[in-house]
Formats: sequence, structure tokens, C-alpha cells
Amino acid sequence: MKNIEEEIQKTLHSLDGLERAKANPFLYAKIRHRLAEAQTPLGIRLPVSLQLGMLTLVLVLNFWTIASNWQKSQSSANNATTFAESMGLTLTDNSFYP
Amino acid sequence: MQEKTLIDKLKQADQQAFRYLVEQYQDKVFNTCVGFVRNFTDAEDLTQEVFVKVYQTMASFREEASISTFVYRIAVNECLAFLRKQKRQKRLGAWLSWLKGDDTETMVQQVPDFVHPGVILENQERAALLLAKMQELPERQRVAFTLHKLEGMSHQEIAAIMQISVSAVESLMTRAKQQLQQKLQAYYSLFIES
Repeated sequence: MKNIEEEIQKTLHSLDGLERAKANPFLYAKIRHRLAEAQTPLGIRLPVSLQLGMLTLVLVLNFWTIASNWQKSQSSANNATTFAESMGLTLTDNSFYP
Repeated sequence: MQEKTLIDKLKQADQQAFRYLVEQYQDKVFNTCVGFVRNFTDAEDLTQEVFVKVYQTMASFREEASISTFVYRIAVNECLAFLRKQKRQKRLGAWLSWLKGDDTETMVQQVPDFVHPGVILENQERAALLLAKMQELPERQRVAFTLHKLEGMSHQEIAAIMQISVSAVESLMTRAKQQLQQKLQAYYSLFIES
């Protein structure tokens, strides 16, 4: 038991009189490099709200373009059908020779 | 350079003043980081980060504390943040290996193998063990004990860095010593009695 107590005390005092660990001699140059990197702009930084607004606008424009194209294709199909009907060009299921 | 002049120049982002500050504190900060993270590569990376933070936050320094306290406070906070992140990653790793059904990682005992370069040869094994056991202490006890043992700081200096009273530091130190004694008792009981 005495041995253990001795070991504990020696270990608890093992860091006494410790010499400081020395930093890298090129530390300052590395810090300057890191600071320069931190100051270099990575591109135009916009606020998050503006980024979200722009994203919403793009999505709305996409949706509007798709919807209007779909409407156009529908109306041109209707026009073609009307024209075909007026010219008697439509086919029914059982009459191949109108 | 006088502290007031140094602070004024640092606030104006004076490069020579910043170089002077780095030269004055680089070993102190590195030694503190080594004590906390027990790894030279991580300690060097953290030391760089500490000085970058000092440079970037100098404008908001209110001179309520000394520049030394300010630098050490940033160093301690950086080290603690790093250790917390490391702990989270270890937990995630253990959890993932448990999910895979691989228990080997949790069974491996950590051997205290980090040797502080400033410890004399005959004490290296004991110092490695003590540094490893210090990692197991609660955060505030670890901070107080590390600053006292590695940087030889007084309780007053530690109190200023931790922003607590001197009596609170004394209490933390007492509890840290008690806990370390218990941990070392358990460790040595395994080897000496068997």
C-alpha cells in the first residue's frame, strides 16, 4: 500500500519543473499565410435572405415557363383539332372513307 | 514594448506589433495546447488558430484583462472546442462500429504514450500517465490543473483566465487532485498488487 502511495505522489509531481515545449520556428509565417487565406474573398458573398429570395425567383420563373409552355401546346393542339374538324379531316373509329 | 502601446498597435492591425506578440507568446500557447491535446500536429494547428483569432478579435478587446489573459483565454477555448469535437467524432465512430457489429474499437485500452518534450527522461512514463489521466477530469478541473502544472500559473492567473474567483480555482484544484489520486490508485493497484 505504501508503494502505491509513493507511486501516486511521484506521478502527481512528474510534471513539476517541466520545460516548455517549443513552437515551430516558422509559426509566424504560417499564421500570416492563414490570415491571408482568411482575408481572400471566395467570391461574392450575398446575405442568406437574398440567396433564398433569388432561389425562389428562379423556381417561380421555371414553374411559370413550364406552365405557359404546357398551355401553349394545349391550345395549339386544340386549334389543330378544330381546323381538322372544319376541313372534314378527322377520323372516326369506324369510318376510314368519309 | 509596453502593454498599452502593444494593445494600441495591435488594435490598428500593426504587423510588427503582431509579430512581437506571436514571438512573446508562441511557446506559451503551444505548450498549453500540447498539454490539452497531447499531439504535436494538432497543438501546432491550434496555436496558429489561436493567433489568427487574437488578430481578428483584437479590435473588440476591452482591456479589462491583460493581453496575456486574453491570449490564454482564447487558447483554452480553442483547445476545449477541439477536444469536444474530437469526443463527438469518437462517439460517432464507436456508434457506427457498433452498428456494423464490430466491437473491437471499444475493447482497445488507450495506452498513455504521449511524451511531453520538456519532461526529464526518468519522469517521462509517469508524466505520460498523468497527462492521460488529466484528460479524464471534468472540463473545468482539467483547465485549472493543466494551466497550473504546464504553465506554472498561480491561482490568481488561472482565475482571471477562467473568469471565476480564486477560491473557486482552489476548489477545482483540490477536487482535481483528489480525482487524480483515485484514478492513479486504481491504475497502480492493477500492477503493484498483481
